[in-house]
Amino acid sequence: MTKDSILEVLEILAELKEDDCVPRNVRARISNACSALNCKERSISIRIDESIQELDEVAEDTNIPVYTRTQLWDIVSKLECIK
Amino acid sequence: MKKFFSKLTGGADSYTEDFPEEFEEDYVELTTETDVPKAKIVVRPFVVEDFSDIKPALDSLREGYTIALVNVGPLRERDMVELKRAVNKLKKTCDAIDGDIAGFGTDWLVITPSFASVHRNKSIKAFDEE
Repeated sequence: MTKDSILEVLEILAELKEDDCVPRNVRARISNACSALNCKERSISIRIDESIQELDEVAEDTNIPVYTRTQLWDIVSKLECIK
Repeated sequence: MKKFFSKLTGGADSYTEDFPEEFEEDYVELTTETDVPKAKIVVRPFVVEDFSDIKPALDSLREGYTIALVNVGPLRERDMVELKRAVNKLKKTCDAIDGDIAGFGTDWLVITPSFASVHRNKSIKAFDEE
């Protein structure tokens, strides 16, 4: 269940990373969130916490498109549910 | 004149002649590296002057080997809303690492990983209830 949810989140993040409408610095931070979520050395709760905080900061960026921000909030709420 | 040149060229040799023999060969070479093994658990202080200053504290807490002493005094004086955000963020990370968080006075927070907990006195509880 947890694994499936994480895979789903990773898929959405991968889509956002390839979206040309998203600024490059935001894409880089989304990539950081992805790698934090993929880090196998840490426990699942720490990985989720790190990626949530990264995405929270990304969502505050004024340059991202409105729909991307909504997508990010959706991802954060999904991650919080896994927690 | 010859003496003068020998003084110039062999200055170093003549310098060693001044030392007694016991100091010439037996010496201890000091290295900058210490043989003491590095401690596994670190108690580390952090000063939070801005909201972004909590990031190093969070990163080292996630490593799992750091007991963080966080001084939030400067941020408290600047912006209470930012302070609340920062403390919430620290709390969330503390929950994620299954650790413990407590405040000492108004300025200091202590955050421990899962292997440690903060002792709470009954008298402090009574104070909170009042």
